[in-house]
Amino acid sequence: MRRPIATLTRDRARSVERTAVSRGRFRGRTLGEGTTAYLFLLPWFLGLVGLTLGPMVASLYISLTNFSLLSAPQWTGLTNYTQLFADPRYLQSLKVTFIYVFLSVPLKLALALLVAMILNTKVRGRGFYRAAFYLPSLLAGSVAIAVLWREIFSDNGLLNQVLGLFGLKNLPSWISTPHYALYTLVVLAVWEFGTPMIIFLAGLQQIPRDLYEAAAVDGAGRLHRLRNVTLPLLTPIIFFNLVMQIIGSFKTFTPAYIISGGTGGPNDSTLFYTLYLYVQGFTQFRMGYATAMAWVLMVIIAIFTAINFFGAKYWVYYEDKGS
Amino acid sequence: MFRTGGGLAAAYFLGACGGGGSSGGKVSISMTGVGSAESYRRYNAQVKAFDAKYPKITVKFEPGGSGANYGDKITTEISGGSAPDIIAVGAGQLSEFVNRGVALDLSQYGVKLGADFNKNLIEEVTIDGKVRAMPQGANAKMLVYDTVLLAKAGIKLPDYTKMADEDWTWDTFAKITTELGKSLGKNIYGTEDAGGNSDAFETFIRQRGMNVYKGNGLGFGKSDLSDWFDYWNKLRKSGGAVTPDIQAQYQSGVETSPLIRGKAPFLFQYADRILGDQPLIKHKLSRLTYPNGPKGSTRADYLTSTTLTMGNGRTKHPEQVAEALNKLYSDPAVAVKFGVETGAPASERTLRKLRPMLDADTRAVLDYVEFIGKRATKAPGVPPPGASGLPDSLLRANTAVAFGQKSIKDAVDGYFSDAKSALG
Repeated sequence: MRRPIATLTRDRARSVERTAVSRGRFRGRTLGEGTTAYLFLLPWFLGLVGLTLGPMVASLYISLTNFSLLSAPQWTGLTNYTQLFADPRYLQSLKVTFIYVFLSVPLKLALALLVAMILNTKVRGRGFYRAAFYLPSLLAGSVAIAVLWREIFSDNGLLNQVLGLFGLKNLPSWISTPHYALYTLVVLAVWEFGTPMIIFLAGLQQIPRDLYEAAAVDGAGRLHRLRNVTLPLLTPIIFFNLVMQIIGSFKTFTPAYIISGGTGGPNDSTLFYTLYLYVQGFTQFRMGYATAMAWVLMVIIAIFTAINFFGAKYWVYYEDKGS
Repeated sequence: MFRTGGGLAAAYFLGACGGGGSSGGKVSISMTGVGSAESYRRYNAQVKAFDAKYPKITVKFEPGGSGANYGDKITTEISGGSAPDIIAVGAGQLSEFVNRGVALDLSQYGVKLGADFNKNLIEEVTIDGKVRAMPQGANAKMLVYDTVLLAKAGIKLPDYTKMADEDWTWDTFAKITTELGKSLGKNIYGTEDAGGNSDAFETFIRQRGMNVYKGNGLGFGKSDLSDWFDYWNKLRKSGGAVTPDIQAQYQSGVETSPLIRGKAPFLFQYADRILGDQPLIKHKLSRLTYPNGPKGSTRADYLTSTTLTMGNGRTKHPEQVAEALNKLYSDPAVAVKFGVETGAPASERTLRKLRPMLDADTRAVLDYVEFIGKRATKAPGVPPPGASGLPDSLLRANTAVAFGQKSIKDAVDGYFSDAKSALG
């Protein structure tokens, strides 16, 4: 990850150099600098141990117990983990989550890239458009948007009213029909394409103009320039977005929780992994089982991230390395 | 409705800094509950009246936040040892708390529910012969309906007090709703689909002389559940009950229900809810009991306290907690301040004191609860530990049948297997 950012932020690198030079003036006063630094870092270390590592170790232990929150945990070894794969609702939650990740991530990235390329051209008022397209991703994780979504896709919601204008009648309530409910949530995810779009936009602006000019001189058309200049130089950014979006999508919780009223309904069609984890832990009082689910999710995400990094060798191109 | 005046902001603030402690022989205990802004005003008024009358104990009320996560919050706080001394809990949670040893045994500290408490409610909070909580209010199941939609179809139903059992059965209900579905036109149906509603199902089961739970297991057989799903399946097919996608939209507030959205005139609810429903809809609402079983079957009615208030078993001041709980709900001068927030007051003396202070709509709710109280049979008691997820299982099973994803037989088997693993 270091290399692409270095390539793309040459200016920032220069300013960092300047800062380093100006700091040189204080070189004489290095006594105790290490101690001071560690002292300043101490709160962070305490946080890391107390708030991150400690709870992680505790949760690993809890995942090996039967723990109802109200009485002390009882050691059960790997029982929770073996039970998982015999639990049909768990398998359903895996299925729902995988469908969601595999559909929403590519669609969202494609849309983000498309919009970023449009907004990278010199259209009038592009500052406004950039802000406007970014806005949904600021709101999308919120409860209000989930409620809005429920209204848009209900039986007499906005969508069906618009479709009604075109003569389509007797349309179902998309949000509460098992066949469609998950897809409305995919649409919601794709709609919040703002964050990857902004990152794509930053990446696009770092591609040197002269490469396009050179390609144009060689007679490359728009499509050729996209395929042979833009996309290869953008691969580090695509890679970064892909990794982040996959991780984020696996962890999706709010929309399903709000739209289905915390049930994952209708009939478990929106039972996301994290939602089922929550149901097990907090409504069924099975905290051991829920933490076991959390650990399995971490392993799943780790595997996907590892596959991504492994695959990156074959398709991600770094300018400084390639030349 | 009466309202309490100033000083509440201060009470809120103090409540937020709560926590148990004693100084100079005076014991301070904390209390929490959940509800609307109005409920919080009531809780604070009740606590204030208590503090004024019983100066040896000070109760500080902390609002429990948003309803959706209240149960999780309480469980987590109990687990972490930071839960308040007095906690309002849903009736379905009590046995879980008793089972885990976190509900204070009030009998041990001399709390007795006197004869002026409703018998059903005493049965409900008494587990293995010990009082484990105070009932907050008496409530009863009630079928709410939209009188305007019924009038449109030319149907007029008698007042609930004049309705004979044999004139208001599940068969009558099916006939009327099917007729409504036909005459109200496209996209409007006779009733909500209550096949996944555990309260309606409980009524149906009790009318067959059984209860949903018996000891730590289920109290009915597969054929009973199969009959129930079949009843609703037929109603959906005849247009009497709403389509599954309309029903599935009803998963948060009542504003998403088929009744309020004008999709079907009947909704299975509790008595006090009509006060919240009516402002949401222009059509005049009215009430009936849930339908009765066929001729010769048992009456299913009973009063229940949907919310109970228990003492935290890990409190440092068990005696004071027991005494405060007792006085908060047994002393009419204090209990009356809570009004009708969770139904009619559980004690007859409080009820008598409260009645003249209420408006006509609220009095109508109390009248209905009283009417059910007179018809009541033995209450089923609180559900066994582990049962908290089963109402959701019933809903999923019915939804799967409604969408045609499962046969009735598979749905019944699924529910029974869920119950087996949940109840252990």
